[in-house]
Amino acid sequence: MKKFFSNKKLIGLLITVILFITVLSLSFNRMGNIPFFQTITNDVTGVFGRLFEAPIRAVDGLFSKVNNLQDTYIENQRLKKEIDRIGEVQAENQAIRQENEKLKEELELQATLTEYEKITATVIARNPDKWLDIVVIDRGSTDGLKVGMSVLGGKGLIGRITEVNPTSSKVMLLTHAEQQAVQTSAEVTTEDGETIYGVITHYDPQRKQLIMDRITSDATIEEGTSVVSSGLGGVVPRGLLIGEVAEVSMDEHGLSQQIYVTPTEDFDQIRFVTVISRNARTVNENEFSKEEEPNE
Amino acid sequence: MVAKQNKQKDSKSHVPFRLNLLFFIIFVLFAILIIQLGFLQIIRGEDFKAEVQRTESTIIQGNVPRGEIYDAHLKKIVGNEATNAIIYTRGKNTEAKTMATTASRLSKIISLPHVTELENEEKKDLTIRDLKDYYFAAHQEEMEERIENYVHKNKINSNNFDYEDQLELIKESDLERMHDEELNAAAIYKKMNSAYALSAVNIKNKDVTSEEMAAVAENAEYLPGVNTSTDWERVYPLDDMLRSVLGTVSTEKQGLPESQLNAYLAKGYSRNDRVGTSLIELQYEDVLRGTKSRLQTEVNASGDIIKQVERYAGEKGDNLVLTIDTEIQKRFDEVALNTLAQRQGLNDSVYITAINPKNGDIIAMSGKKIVKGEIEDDALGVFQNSFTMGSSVKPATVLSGYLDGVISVDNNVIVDMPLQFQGSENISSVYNRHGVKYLSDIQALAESSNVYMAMLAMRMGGYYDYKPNEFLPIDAEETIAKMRKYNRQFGLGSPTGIDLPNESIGQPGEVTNAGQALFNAFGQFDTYTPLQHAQYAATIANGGIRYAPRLVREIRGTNPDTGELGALKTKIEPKILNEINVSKEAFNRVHQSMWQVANGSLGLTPAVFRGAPYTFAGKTGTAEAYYWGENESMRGTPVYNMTFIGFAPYDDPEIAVSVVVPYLPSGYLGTIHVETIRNAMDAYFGVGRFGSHTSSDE
Repeated sequence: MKKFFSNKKLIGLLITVILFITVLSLSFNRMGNIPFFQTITNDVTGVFGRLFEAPIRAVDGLFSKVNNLQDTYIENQRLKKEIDRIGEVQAENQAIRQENEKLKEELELQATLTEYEKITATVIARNPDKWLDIVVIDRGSTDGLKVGMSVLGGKGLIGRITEVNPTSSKVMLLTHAEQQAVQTSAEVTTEDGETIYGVITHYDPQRKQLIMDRITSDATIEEGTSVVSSGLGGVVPRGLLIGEVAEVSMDEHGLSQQIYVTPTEDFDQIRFVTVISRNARTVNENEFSKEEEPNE
Repeated sequence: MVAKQNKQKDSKSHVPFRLNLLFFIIFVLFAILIIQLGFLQIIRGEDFKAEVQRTESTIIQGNVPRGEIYDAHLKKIVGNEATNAIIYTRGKNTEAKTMATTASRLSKIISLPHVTELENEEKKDLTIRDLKDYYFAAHQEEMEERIENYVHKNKINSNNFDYEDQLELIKESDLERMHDEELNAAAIYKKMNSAYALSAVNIKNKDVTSEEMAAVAENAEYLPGVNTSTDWERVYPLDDMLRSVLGTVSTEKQGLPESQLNAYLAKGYSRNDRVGTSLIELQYEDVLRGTKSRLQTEVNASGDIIKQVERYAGEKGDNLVLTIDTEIQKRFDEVALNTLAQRQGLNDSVYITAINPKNGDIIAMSGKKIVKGEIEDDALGVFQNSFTMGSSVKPATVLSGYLDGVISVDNNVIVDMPLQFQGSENISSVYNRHGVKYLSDIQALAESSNVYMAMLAMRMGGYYDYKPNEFLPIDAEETIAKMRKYNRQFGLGSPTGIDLPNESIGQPGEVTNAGQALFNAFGQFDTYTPLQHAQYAATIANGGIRYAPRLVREIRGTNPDTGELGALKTKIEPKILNEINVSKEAFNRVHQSMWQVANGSLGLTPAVFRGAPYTFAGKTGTAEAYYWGENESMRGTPVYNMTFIGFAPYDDPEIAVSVVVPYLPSGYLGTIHVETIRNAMDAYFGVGRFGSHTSSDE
């Protein structure tokens, strides 16, 4: 009796239970966008993700390194020759850069739509449930990432950052089922040099193709033409490769053209990504940051 | 000792026991509390969360493009053009404040042209009230404060202080302070506010730039309910051709016609749907409208739309294939304009209508009219204006004679001589003002005898033995009723059955005098529309089968790959309204007489038709009428209406034509109507002026 009601143990038990419940309820209660608790879990799982990722990658790398050694030797020979040329190229570059600066000044162009900085990151988590929706990367607000930044895979645009934690971020992919958050303005240039604008609005999981519509032009679009981001929307910078035209057809009502786009990126195999930070400020950049949201 | 020990033992164990009991109770209470907490959080937590985030799934219908209209050779007459649009779908109980915030954000990336009442009182599209609505929604806190102060200061019951009164608290100076972006936002807000719950409106569907589309698309996440879309607008690749019969489609702003609002709503229309409001667009609304798309829309507990998934893409309206051959229509328009260019007197219009006598297909219907010095398309007038047609109705009178049995193939010779009556106007044939002449039905038609026709009318009234200067002993009303009954079998004075709304059936004259029956026999009494006239020509041409003239031949779907005309859905069969019970011989006789008119040795008509590479048969008409056109001050002036019906080729007619050139000067002796029909026939057969080239502007 006395043992059982020992004050210390009793209080200890109570506190443990209360803590347990609190933690549970906190994690269940997702008020607000990124709750503090979720941020911690995201970061913690991020660390663990990297912990496991690193040795696997090390072993994986060893084999390819041996293979690459031979290639490296041959490449080295070639590069040495090229290095000789670099000097003159640099000088030329310098001249061109200066000239470019000067011309820009004259045109009063502060920053062109194509100017951006790159931050590389590694994919650390991907939920099989939402395989085509979201990936988690190992960079966060401490690296300067912000919501809305565009993310590139090895070859082309894959999506946009939708959630930023201090050391990890979520990237919503272009293949996301409800594309609203990652609609991207795109452009295609026809053979006659006409630029056709449209919006990537859907992903067809059966065909594994993106669909570009909102096209009002009836110009002929050749299959195989590159589809790149247009930069007109102010969120995604211009000229990021999205894919190439697979098929041009009419929409279901025969009203306007729609383009099936084969994505450049293999969305099943995204491991390293590049986050693009856009320098050019357009009218609306940062205008709609989440903090401003009145309903939240 | 024992007692003491016991006492000691008691007192020793007594205190901790009570304390322990206390702890136990506290423990139990805490345990209950924690269990309850756990129950609420872990077991029921999901349910509560779901309750908070409860969503409702509703089906929203979306617009689909309207069907298009093609000509007989599948050339597009009315099409749709895709336009970029920015749309807003309103949530279930979206608050004004939320909408104002969205509008304000949207105003930074799109610009909506607007004119406020403050700038221009005449051409405003943004009233002071609209501005106040936006101001109220955008500055909710400030307004609440103002309202509270005001109510407090004036000691008003806040329940009696409604929205209208609250708006009064916004001063003009507040509105004048609004800068351009805010005014833009107010214009956007007005559009958004016009949306009904869970329905979509276009915020902007004209001149949306690529930049605006891109900005809205990429920022859609922060603009609840706003998205990009593709809209359509009606385009007319052949410009003004047939515009007056193609009809109109209401704009989104006009929406459904007020008069039939409930009927449309019952059919599943939304208030801002674009519907056909006149003529073909109205007549075939059910075909052209298509099937609306269905978007499954999830709404959360506060009524905001959180997800939209397209369940059914909808189907574009079906396309109409007209019987009209636009190439011939174009040539007819050209002929009509050419005729109008030579106009005399009060002549202000011309109508040329061609029908295929084999099935009632309208090959072309051209009407041109001068309104305030400008030439307008008046194909509409073909079936909405009526005129006295004159002698061109005589074949119908002769055939009425056969129908009534007052003449027959063997017995049809009547004496033509000037007729004199007591109490009625005298009648004589133009070519025979004095003499006495024996005429067969063929001769009577070929020479256009008025007397022969009048005699037929008298016979139909039961009066066979004409004696000069008698009162006409026929029952005027009965006789005219009888004649009208026969005429209606040809289409004269009856609905033609055309597939268009609001057809005029002509104007029957008011019967006051027996002589009118006689005048009606040669087309000087009742009035008919050019379309009735043409249907009558077709009925004569094909030997007595009256087809309902039709403009739409087929209903076709849309090819999903090309967006062009797709597979046949419905073939509209020709509609026979009635057949005329007259022998083939009698029709042959009428045909022969009409051949005489165009190819014989009498009058001016054969001269005009000389050398035509097709065989044409027809009948002219000159009606002594009174002007009843647009110019009100001239109404009642005596005029001549020159008309012509005919068909070709003679052996196997494939086109029956009516030409009406109204309101020429009284006493007109020209051949404008004959020239017009010759040109129209040449246009159809692609000969003469129309032979060397296929179209005038190619």
